[in-house]
Amino acid sequence: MTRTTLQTPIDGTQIVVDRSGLASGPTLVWLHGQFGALDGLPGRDALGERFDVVEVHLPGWGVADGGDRFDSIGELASVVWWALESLDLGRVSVAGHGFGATLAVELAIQQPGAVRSLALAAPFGMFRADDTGVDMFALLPRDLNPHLYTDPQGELVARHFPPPADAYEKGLASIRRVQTLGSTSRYLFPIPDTNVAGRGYRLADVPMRLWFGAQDGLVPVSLAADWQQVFPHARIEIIDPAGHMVADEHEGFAAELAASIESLGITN
Amino acid sequence: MKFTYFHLMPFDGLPEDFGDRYRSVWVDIPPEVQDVPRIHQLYNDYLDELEHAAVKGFDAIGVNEHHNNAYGLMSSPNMMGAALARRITDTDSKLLVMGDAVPLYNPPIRIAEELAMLDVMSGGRLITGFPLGSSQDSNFAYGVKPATMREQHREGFELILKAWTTDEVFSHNGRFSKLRYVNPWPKPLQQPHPPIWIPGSGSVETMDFAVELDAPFFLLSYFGADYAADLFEKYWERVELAGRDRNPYRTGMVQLVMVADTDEEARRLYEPHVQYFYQRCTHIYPGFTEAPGYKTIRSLQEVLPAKGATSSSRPDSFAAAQKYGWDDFVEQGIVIAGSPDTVREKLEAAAKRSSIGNWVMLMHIGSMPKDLAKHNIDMFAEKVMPALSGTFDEHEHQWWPKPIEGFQETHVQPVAREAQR
Repeated sequence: MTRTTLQTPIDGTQIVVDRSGLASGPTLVWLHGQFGALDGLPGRDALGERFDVVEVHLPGWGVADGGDRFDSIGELASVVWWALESLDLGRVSVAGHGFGATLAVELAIQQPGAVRSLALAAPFGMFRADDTGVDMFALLPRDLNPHLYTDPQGELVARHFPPPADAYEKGLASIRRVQTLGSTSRYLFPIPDTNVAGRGYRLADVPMRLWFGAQDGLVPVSLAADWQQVFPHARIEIIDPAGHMVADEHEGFAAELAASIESLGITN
Repeated sequence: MKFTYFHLMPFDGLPEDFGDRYRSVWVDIPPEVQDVPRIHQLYNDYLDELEHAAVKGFDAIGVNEHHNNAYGLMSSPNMMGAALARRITDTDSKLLVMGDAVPLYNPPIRIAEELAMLDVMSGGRLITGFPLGSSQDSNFAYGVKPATMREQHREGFELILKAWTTDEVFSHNGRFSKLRYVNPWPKPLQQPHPPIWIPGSGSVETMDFAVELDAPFFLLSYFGADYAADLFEKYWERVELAGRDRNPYRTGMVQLVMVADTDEEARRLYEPHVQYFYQRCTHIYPGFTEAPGYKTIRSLQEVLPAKGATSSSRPDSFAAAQKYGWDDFVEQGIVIAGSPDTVREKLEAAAKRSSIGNWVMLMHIGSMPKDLAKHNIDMFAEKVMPALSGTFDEHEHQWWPKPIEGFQETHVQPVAREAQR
């Protein structure tokens, strides 16, 4: 894996890119979720055998600096496009989880011609007043985790959020949470509706595959129907059991993601 | 020393098992808990108390702003300020509005207008405070983005100041609001503007902001001066670095104060109301108190426990206070309560140790009935305040409303209580 730090010429905002896998393969861009990169792209090694994998660290989430001047997800998408264009990747498949999936949609809305396909796990961007889901910005970790994971005491949680050894580590974990969710709040607070429904017509020709967790407390599974209505051409799967961390919890995620790209007959 | 009688205007009808039955007194407290006819009574009782404090000689009376809660029923401090402005003109009391949380007003010019109106109506008695606003209010009740809230506060504050002090119509092209024609009518009566105090809960950014403005820093804490001593020293270090003097009027603090004939009598009279306050009024779901981004990383790093520390729980937290009894509150200095001598000694010691010249007194606490609140006011005004008022007289209070040269205050005649029919 090679890491590249790109810095915008205007205010020093950074985009950090980890690149791995098959350099000659089709490019797969992965956008991390609201809690940061955590384990990175689920199934990275297997996907790397077939794809040129580009994992993007967004500004403000702890690895890449900046983003302080951004007020809208459109501004963030613009700087991500700037970074991808700097790498001269050409047309790309874009995948993401949670906030990363929301940003992936934004990238495609801005430049539908540059996106070969979209793969979205538990995307924010639509909102139902009668089925709001829980407020990730308000809940303490102990109250939020049951909405993220089907097993809140399980190994995956311990890997994503290692139990602190002492009060100092607990404090550091708290700072990390503030940094990641604080950055997310720029774009999804107080209501995670980015008006996807009003702009979805831009993606009529972009192949899309979506995964929703049946037990997701943040992105209620009822929203799957709303996404389907806006994107009739999209293939939508409801994974049961799975919480909000559906990309990590669903064992078939990487294989299905690969299949969704390969079915398009893409080669670089 | 200056004493402000400050009111939160709490709801006194929270059930005894409120903490067990409900998640939070703030943000998502169920509407079913409201008793609106009772709130009608409370508003008027509380305004009576504030007027009584003004008549009894408190230097100022104070109001503030909160939303979606039963802890403090004033969603509009300016409305309460307006209700009081004409009722205190036969006293020497000033009017503290602390305050309008700037990020909640868009465009913030609304604050400039309403506070100017209050200053003019009251004959130049207004003292203003510009808090960032609590996370409960600003983020969760009003939807202000926590990550950009401080910039929004700063931009709004600067706009208000410019609107008050600029003698021409100007345009404001801000990040958070855009106005082609800024031209508030009227300007404030006090020139260049009413005194400004900067309230905060202790973040380094707020302290630095106060120092930068050369405005008093006000600590909004319900845990007393003992716990705040280190924080005030941090503030004074910053004041010194800026080349300014340790004038006690550069600081202020909220303090719960209760006076009775004896220490034992204070416990008998006030304990239930203190317990109501700390067990029900401050029963807040912790996730609502700090939306991610509300506090800066820098502020959080300042309070990181040492490596290897076993506990990060703080004795000066609402969670800890839920378990305290009267003795805990008194011994830790969280409340200052007792005989006039006890209260005077403790207040004086705290004031001198941390050089605190402005005391924002919380003397109506929790479920306290009006008669008891008035008794507390009377005891303090008659038996404590006279002995302390002269403290720090050697320092000039540059942040206090001053008489306006040549200004003749209108003689106000509020309508008699017995309406003429």
